[in-house]
Amino acid sequence: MKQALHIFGKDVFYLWREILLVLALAALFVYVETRGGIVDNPFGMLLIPASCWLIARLIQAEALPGDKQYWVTRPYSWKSLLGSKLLFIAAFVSLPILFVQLAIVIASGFPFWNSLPGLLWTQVLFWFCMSLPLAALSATIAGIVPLILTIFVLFVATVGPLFVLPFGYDLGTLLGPFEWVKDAVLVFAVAAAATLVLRAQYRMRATLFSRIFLAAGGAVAAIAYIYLPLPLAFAVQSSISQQRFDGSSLRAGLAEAPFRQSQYLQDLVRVRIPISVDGVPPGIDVQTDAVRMQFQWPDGRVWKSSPREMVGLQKRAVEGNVFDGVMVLSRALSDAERNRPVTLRGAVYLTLFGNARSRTVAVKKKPVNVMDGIQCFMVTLPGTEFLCRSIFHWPSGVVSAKFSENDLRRFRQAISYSPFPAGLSLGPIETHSTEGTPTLDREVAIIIKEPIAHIRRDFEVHGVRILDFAPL
Amino acid sequence: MSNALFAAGLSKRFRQVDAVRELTLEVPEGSIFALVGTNGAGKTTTIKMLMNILKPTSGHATVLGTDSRRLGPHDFARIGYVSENQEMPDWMTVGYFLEYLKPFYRAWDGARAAELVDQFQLPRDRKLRHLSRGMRIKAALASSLAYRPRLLVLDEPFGGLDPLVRDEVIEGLLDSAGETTIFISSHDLAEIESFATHIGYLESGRLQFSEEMATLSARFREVEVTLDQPGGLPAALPDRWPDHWLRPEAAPTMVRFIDSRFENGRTQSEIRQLFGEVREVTAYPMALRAIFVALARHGARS
Repeated sequence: MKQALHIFGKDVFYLWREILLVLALAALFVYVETRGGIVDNPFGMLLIPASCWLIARLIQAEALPGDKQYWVTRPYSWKSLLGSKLLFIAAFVSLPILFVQLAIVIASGFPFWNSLPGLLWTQVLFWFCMSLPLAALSATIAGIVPLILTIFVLFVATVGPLFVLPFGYDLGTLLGPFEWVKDAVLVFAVAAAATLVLRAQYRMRATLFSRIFLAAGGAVAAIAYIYLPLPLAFAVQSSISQQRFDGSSLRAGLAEAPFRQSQYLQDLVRVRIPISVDGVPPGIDVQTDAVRMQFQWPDGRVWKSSPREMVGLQKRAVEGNVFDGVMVLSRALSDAERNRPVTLRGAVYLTLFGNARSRTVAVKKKPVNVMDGIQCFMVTLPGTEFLCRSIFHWPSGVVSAKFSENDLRRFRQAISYSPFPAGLSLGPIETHSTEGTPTLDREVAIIIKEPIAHIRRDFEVHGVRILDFAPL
Repeated sequence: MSNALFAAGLSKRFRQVDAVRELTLEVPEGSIFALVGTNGAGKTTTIKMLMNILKPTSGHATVLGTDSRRLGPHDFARIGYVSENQEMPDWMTVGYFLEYLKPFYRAWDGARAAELVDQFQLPRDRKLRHLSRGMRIKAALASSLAYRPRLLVLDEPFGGLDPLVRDEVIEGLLDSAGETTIFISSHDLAEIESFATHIGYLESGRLQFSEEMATLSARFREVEVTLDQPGGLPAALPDRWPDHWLRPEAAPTMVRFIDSRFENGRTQSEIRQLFGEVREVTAYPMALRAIFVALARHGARS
């Protein structure tokens, strides 16, 4: 411990300019964030790179790759060295972020105890997603310039495919509200690989092994992230969620009145497939999180929906439970086979919302704490808008505002069923709006329905024709 | 006498290149052992394996009784290592560098450190990056001598130093000799000769010999044989000269060679066997540099 503190002291002395820069940016970020008015706080975009720079310089102060460093033949204990680096990151990267977020919590008037899990979990996420991976990279690459080049190459490798993939080519799966499962797999895999590499590097300076392990770990995590199948994500979600509803009455199938609407895109055609969900008891909301479908012709040919289609289906009308999914077909196939009977098979992933809780508050211009860490307020820009905001994590359920007996509006937001109390963000406040016309000082009831069951329903319909969906 | 360093069958292979092959070596405690060899002979690789900077491909070594692959902080507290191309914390001043290293060593002697700084005329307030090559070596040496290590390993410490600085460095080393075993690799044979007690010669990754300096000096002689009369050479010169005769040259009345196993009686007898009675045999002692050059040329030829 004594040695770790000694090395820590040296690093503080060595990197005092970088430390000052991070602290100044953190202070400016808080200042701008708590004043409001700026959507993208520029100091956040500077604080993260400055923190990364600090971490890279810190780790490379005692470079691990190579065989010429003076310190490798000095009585350094690897535990002390690693401990000093982690202590430094905790002190000058994590703590400033913690104070930034704490200041935002306090300045925004969110209840502290409600925010504490989010505050702490954000720390964990910054360690997992930024500090550990960057420390591991810095520990396996000699020199700042090669490190920056490597990060640039990784960035290009990650973002590049989006620009070079041909039109209509789908990479990976979309999981809608289960997307967090992918994120969790990626984050935990990267953090685990980074932790193992850091340990191996500091203990043995096994640079080649570490590089191979890091590359392999990154590749496996990326593949798992891109191709994680929906059934697996759904199984994870179902296993960690309490199933508080017997869904035996639920049925899913093809709705009777399809919109005959299609859209041609080069050699593809997009068709709308309406899905109906029946047997939903009163007071329970249903959401179609995802649908997987396939057309099968009598001669055995099959056209499957892409794993990026039919996620978070829109409800067609307030009443009833008909959801429109959009599926892309080959235009040639559609033109040739539009009139032939085909079997449609589908798997519908549903979430039911119930156990409604509500709290009535007066509409104010200043945010009012409602419940579950939500604050609501009215803004008068050119128009009037009713907004609710949460810190760290928007509730996993359906949030609605009831302005009058007949005016119930749902907030526009993509739901995530993530069980974690925060996402990875420096500015932890998430704001959503709803349609409706709030009146100052009049009461509004905020209603939150929580997910009570995740259910899969399969269906099969014979004798349908593509013409039913794409008449043109 | 126990060994400060011991290596048995130590080898290192980089892809297709054998940098060090089956090196077996003993460095007695208290000795000043010089490892010499041409560029690329494997001296630095050997030292890096001994210091646990590189892992050997095969074989093993012990350093102060510890397996070299297990050298840890406890061992490095008793070992000093200075290399010509060592990466130093350039942002530190000389004074801060010494102060920073102090708590790592229980045996750190502040007075000795101050003495070394004065002896080497090191500017305490100057950053390491602003020091000349010689000054950097001296700073590294001062930081390695201040805790009176039991073993000091120096990899080409004299490279590129001017004679004055070289003398200062050697003086610093000699002050520590006795209590410290010194293992040094160098090209600077003239300097090595002046203070090394033992020497090892490495060629193409193989240790050709390792022995006490006095023994080496005694067994190498440049021998000149003056034959009895012109044309006194045998009708046919021997197809094979003795293996330990290096660079043999023959002229009508004279034969010259370097005997690498000189022993007056035996050498005389070998000469007589080859040439019969000769007028005169003169054996000249050789400087280390001359021995090294002869060995290097002999090695290159064979």
